[in-house]
Amino acid sequence: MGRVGVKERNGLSRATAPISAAMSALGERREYQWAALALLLLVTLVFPQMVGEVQIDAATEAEVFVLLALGLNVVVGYAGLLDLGYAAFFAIGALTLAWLGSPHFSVTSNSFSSPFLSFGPHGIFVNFFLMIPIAAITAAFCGVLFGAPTLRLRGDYLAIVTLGFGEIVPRVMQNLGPGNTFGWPDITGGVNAIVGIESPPTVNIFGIHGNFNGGSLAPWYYLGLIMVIVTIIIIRNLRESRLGRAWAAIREDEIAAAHMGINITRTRLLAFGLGAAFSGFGGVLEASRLGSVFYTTFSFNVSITILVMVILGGMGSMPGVILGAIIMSYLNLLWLKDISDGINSLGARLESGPSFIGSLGNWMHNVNLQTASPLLFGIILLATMLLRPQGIWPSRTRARELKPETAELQQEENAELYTARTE
Amino acid sequence: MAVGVTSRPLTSLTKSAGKQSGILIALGLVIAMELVAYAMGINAFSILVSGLALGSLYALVALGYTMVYGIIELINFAHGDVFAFGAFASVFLMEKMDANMADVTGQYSNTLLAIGMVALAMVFAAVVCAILGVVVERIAYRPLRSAPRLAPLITAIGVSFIIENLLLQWRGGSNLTYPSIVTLTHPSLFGATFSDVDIFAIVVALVMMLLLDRFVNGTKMGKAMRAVAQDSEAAQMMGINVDRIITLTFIVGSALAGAGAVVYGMDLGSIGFNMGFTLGLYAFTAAVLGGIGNIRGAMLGGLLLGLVQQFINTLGNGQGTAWSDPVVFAVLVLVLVFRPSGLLGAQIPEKV
Repeated sequence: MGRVGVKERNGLSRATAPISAAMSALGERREYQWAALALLLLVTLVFPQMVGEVQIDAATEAEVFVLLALGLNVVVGYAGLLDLGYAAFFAIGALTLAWLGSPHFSVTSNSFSSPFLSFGPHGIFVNFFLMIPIAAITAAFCGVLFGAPTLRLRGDYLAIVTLGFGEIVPRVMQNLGPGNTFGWPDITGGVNAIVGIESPPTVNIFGIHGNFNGGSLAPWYYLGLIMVIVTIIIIRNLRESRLGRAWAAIREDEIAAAHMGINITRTRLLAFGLGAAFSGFGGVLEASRLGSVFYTTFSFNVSITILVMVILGGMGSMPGVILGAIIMSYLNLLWLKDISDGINSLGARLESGPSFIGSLGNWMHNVNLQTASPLLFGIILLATMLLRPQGIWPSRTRARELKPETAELQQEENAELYTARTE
Repeated sequence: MAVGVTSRPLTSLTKSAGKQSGILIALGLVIAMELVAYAMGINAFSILVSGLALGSLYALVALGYTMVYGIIELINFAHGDVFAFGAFASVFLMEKMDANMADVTGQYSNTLLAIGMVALAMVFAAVVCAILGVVVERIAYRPLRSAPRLAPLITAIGVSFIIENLLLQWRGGSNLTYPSIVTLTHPSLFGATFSDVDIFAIVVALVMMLLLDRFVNGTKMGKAMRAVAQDSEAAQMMGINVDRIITLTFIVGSALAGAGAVVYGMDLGSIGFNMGFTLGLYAFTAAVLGGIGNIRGAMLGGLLLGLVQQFINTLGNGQGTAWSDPVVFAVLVLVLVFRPSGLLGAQIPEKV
């Protein structure tokens, strides 16, 4: 392969190089970073005051996916393990709340009531704020339980095993509903779903009043925002810790890392378990917000959607992953519909036109991009990996880990990685 | 990578012993299932026939996974969807042809014509799938050949989503009834009734597997293929065009899937846009069960998996159907964890 050909092929990253350089130059200055962060926080805080309920609902849904994408990023981006069944842990987090915070399991023999826990014929209700750590720990526990035997497997085998696990969990949820094969009582709701899941209790501290049953969705948004911020702080600290460096080491060179005394299986297991814990956060927020848990919410498509967010944003880059999650959620929830509506109304106008334009208009009038969203996801996955494998907002730490001194060197390395033939 | 599970040292040391024990395990499992079925009063022979028919189809698709994995160590995630595309392509062809030749019910009165139609559909689907397979390889895998391993796996998932959704846009979300080309007869043997398409599926799969086995082990091109699988660098030095061999692998694997798709449609009677995903997972499980990278292993794994699935389906008066997916995936997980080299052990070494 000639060098010239290599450079031509890498035209896209060459074109975006000045932008990346400018962004990183801006990022070098601490003051700018803090100012940007403060501005961002201000915007996220006042956002619900300025928009309608539809927008707040979409933003809250986006927060759930930000939590999930951040968690998956620990597994895929930091530890370099491809998890194709991440939605399973999302399901486990949601189910934990559904079991311990709904009328689903009624206790007829006894009853007890306190602000933290009440049970009786009305069901089992553990305080919502206690449920957040409980669900996270349950999801993490399941992650470790599932990861322990499987994490020894090579990367692509692991991907398939996680995919299998991601398929089993919703299937089991579907099958263990009322009237199941084994004659057991209704465990997972099955096709009826588990309904009546608790909302958080009304919060009244520091002059902040948040009523989750008051009709407004804003308290949910703020709850999600707090969870996202806490998650960001935890993951940031994890990444900078000894464990985070061990993840980077394993990801870059497993053999070298093992020789440095890093316990590969244990380190991977921690990534898997911690990643699962954050999906527990997401599961609690989603289950409580929707008030129900239904097995289709956790299908393979959801696992892939979260993966698309991570890949698009940039594996291993927290701001990138957050951006990816926001873009993909908004595409799913609002933008695809908006774009479809736009095309439809344009098509309606063209319909009366002459033959070709008329039939084009008719097609445009009926086009529905929402049904084609998996197509879009597929194209995003393909295009990102082919054209910009580092994602739209790559991590500088990760770039530094790869040790290229300049942007030029980075490009050379990319070019070699992606186009060199086996020599 | 060396830390990961390698099956090679084991199989190369105890090659024949491992193989024999694998076949014995498979046979033991089949006999055990048959005995349990017999004890429960289910017709054991019926499970055998329908299980082998289903298993032959899994095996045909599993061959595609195992060949590609053997050559470039990639789990070709899109393979199941290439299979589904073949099924839809054959329906398309039949709809065009039916208008001229078939009677009102879509069936052919003339047996010879019906056989010709089936053969034509299989060839057509095989060609379409082969082209699709090559296109997918060119676009999604070739540019990433020396990228980190995760990269082509991710594009494979992307391609799988794209093909699935194209089928959805093309023919809609509800299942299509597969044209019934021949009038089905239901022969009965040992108290079991089955459709003659079941027998047809088994025969077709066996013939194709024999041809493939001859091709890989008996021709010059097959030899080149095995050489690339063993060590592509060395193969290249010997003057083998590695890229061409990889393309050939995709052609053969996808063509088998395409021909299998026609038999699948005839046997199961309906096809859907998302059938490639589940079937792909089944076939991949079959490939892993037999030992991924091992062509004979994929055949054995496919047959065994089909039998296991039919056995579970008949349990609990048919209530087992809801559980066959979880059980199949549990088999996948367990095999990968406890015997990653599969029943027959991989003949393909892991490249470090």
